[in-house]
Amino acid sequence: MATDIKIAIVGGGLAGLAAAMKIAEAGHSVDLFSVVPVKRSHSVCAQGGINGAVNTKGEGDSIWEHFDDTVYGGDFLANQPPAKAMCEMAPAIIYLFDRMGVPFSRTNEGLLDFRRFGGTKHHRTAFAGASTGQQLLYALDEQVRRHEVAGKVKKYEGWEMMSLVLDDHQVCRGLVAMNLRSLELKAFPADAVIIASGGPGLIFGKSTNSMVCTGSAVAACYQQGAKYANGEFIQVHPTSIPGEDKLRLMSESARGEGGRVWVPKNKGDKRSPSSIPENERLYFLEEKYPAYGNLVPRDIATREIFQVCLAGMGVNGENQVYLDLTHIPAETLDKKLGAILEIYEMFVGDDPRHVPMRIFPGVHYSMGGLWVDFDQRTNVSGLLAAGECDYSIHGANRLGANSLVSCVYGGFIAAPAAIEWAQNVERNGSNGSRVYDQETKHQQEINDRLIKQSGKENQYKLHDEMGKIMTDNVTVIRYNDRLKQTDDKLRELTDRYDRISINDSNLWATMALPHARQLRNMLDLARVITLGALNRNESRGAHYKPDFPDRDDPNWLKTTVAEYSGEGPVFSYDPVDISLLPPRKRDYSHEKKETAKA
Amino acid sequence: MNTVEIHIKRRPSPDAPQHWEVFEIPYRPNLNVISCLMEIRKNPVTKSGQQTTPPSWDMNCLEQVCGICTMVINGRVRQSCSALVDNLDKPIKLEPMTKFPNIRDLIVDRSQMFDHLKRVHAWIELDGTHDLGPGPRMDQEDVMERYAYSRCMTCGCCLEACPQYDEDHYIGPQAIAQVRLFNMHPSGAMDREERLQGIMGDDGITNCGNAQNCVKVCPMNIPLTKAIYEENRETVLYGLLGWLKK
Amino acid sequence: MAIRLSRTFILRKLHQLTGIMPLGIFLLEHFYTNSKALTGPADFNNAVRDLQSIPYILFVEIGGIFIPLIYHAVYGLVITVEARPNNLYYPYARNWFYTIQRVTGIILFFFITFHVLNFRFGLIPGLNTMSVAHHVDQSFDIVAREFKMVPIFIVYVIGITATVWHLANGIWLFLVDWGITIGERAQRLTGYACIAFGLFLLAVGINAAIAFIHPGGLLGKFM
Repeated sequence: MATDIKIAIVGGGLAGLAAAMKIAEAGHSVDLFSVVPVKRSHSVCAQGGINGAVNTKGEGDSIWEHFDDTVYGGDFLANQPPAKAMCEMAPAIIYLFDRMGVPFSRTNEGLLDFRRFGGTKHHRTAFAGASTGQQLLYALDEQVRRHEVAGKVKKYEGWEMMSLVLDDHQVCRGLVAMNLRSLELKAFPADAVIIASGGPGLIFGKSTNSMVCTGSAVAACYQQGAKYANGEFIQVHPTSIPGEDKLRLMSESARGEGGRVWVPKNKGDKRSPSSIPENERLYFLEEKYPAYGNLVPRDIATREIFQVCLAGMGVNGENQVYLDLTHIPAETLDKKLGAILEIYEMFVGDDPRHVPMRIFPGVHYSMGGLWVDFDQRTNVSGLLAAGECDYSIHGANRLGANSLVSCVYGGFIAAPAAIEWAQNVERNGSNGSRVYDQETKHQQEINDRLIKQSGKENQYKLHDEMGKIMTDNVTVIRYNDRLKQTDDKLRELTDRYDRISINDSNLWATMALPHARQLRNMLDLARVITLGALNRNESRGAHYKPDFPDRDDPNWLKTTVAEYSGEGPVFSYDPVDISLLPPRKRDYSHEKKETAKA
Repeated sequence: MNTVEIHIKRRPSPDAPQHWEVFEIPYRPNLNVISCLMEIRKNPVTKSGQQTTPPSWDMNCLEQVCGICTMVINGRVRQSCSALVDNLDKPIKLEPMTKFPNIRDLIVDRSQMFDHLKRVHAWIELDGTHDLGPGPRMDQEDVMERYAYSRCMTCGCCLEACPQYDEDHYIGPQAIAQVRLFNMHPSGAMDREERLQGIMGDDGITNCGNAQNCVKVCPMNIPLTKAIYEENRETVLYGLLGWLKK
Repeated sequence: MAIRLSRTFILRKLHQLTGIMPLGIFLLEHFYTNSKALTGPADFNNAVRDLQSIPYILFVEIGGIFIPLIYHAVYGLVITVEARPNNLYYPYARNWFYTIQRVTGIILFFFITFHVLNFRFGLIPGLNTMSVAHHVDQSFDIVAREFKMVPIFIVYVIGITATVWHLANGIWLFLVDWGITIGERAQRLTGYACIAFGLFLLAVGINAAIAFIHPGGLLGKFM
């Protein structure tokens, strides 16, 4: 049995740090790879909170209720045993963060306070101000720093994983990473590798994701034989603030407090919103859904806004509609929405108390990801995954405030599973250092070729084109003909990619080469997402096809599994484990009907 | 056509000298500094038509919570993601932070700040991550104060604007505020003296000159001076006068 | 664990402390004695005589004034050398106070050197040659003779103003540096108090100086 175990973790967000902490605590060594200093990971962006059924409000909440909400919210596509296991662990996870010193909001008695979130009727969400993700990440960052001081964790910040090192039996033996300053490629042997690299939002160009959320590391694993599951399930947030650089979340409470959504009736009306008279405004939600008006459920709001813009009716012909609060007195707004209005003001410069906000649905979260078993192991021996980059837990749609808990859960399960693998795996033996040298050389060749080649294509423009077509065709509303066009376009882009030239002659700390490598990987994942969506002829959770508007359990209650081949993804389908909860119709217009505990 | 002129202080490599380059991009409403840089890197040509290398900079969340994109804009340190072109004086001047090693162009190495966090023991000494039930009960008022300190994203604005901080001779407001954060916590307070030791060294809390720029430039509005003065009290009580108890 | 005190920590705390005690206290005493000039030369000379008759005056002067003064001055210069003022881009009040505290510190370094040599020892070439301490009966006249020279008087007005600023702001700094004042509101209120105290002290100090060239000080002719 191996005693000097070393496990490599790729990604320093919640999942990666959670795993690192567990492994270090068990006395083993961790090499932690992160593109940015781990404290700057995308987990900091999560605002809402973390779910856990502690039932401190006496509402009869239970782990079973949380599990039911999670599976129901996910439209029954999630394998149920891991979802249930997560809900069981959730209260302990929250308490652990409490002990780590996270400043969770408190009740009068000094106990943890919980609030209500979307998709549930229980107060189940613990929160720290309006930046729970940031607070949870910092708590883990602190604990991992403690293990770093103790010598158990070695951080490689500013290193990006390029590929896995696989031996002759396709067993993962470590990875090759690139130093983002010197572009040095180096192989790092490890007894197991945990991928915790987050979501792939940048495939859609602009999203609510951070700039490191390229999915590149995941795509590299996929290219080397790891299965990618349920890629077509991409959650889109109905109201985000379109920016030139990214989309920023606008809380749905703006609609809750009486915000009205509209566009000018005249296509391309250039007038300022305040000078457009009432009768020339199209309040399309209120018109189409008189009963609910602007308060229609999230997915309907998302689709309607999207459709209006797709028809060219968006403000200034762009992908944006007005979310108007100006009819509400400024004092009322300050009292109820102060913090979120400030965010809008900071990044747009307009005062939403007097100028209608401009919003648009934004790609937010990928339910799909690396295929893992119930212990977070991928199909590649020695390779595990945790967090947004794995597909488990959320099914076809993620419940609000479930992402943070699923990241930590994934890390906590992956860590012991990785240790167990590492303790029992036979060390390299005959392969020796050959596999490491080979893989490093292979990666070096790719870099050299990119640096040398000179063509007319511009990598950033290719990225823009990919983002635009993916956003237009593979997000909220999906039509099979457009999905086919999208795949054609992606193949065209892949072809043109071979003619890009790196426009930075200074290779020290360049952004161009790493971006070019990420772009190539994103193109592969984009095809997995697009073709997965093309194949799935039903509507389920975040995947909506007007031509197939209903969920089709007999044919599609199954997990999409994509495997890499030179010609593109090869799809197969796995059954979903529904052993705990029989599927029922997902309908938020009525109160959820719970099932009795099986 | 309306344009935006942007001056960028360039440095090809850590040991090369700095020089200015001027760029011009088409104006659009709602541009921020990051989107200007993105536009420039697509086709890096200076205003005078010279082909050049694209500028390098750090960016990630673009929501002013990760802290990575901090730079000196028109002479003042701030995050470039929340720096809106419409609100800035033109031409816009972009420089890297001056108090940290400059890697290339607008990229600096702030790892010394993370080293400071190690020095001040900025964590709670957990018995273990197994389930031991909830943590200590706390007053919501104390929680609010801790939350304010806990929002620090280690961006370095406080150090850049501090007239006392240079060449890493002063541990700085961010680390001191973290001491306050953990010393306020019932479990954290058990390691109080280790943390105080961390800020009582030759580069410690007494190097504060009370210019209070830190609290003015902090993008998270952290009451940094309050933290420093709380720790002044703690270091006096426990550090300076502690021997009187023995 | 026992906390180990670093050199810098001790030196800074000593620097902060000496500014208030004994130097700040001494300045108050000094202004008090100077103000005796308001009621005439005899009162002032008597006050100087009283001071000179303090037992162990040599030790008091050396241990209570000269050593703390030299320490505060020299270490103050060391601190000043570390400063990287940036007032133009960060033009906040406290940042200006920071810079002014250091500027006044430098002014004081030269002013106090001059002042001590001028009056305590009478060693400035071309000016007064008599030590006030050794010619108690002529104290008032010695000072008055110097102050009648306009450039010298201007130097003293600048010196007194710088001293008062340095002390008034120094009290505020001491309050925060020793963790007595903490919160934002307390910082603001003690700030106002220090400004008020500084203005009062400035009036007293300048008026006492005027009393040497204009009997009774500024308000003398009306009294």
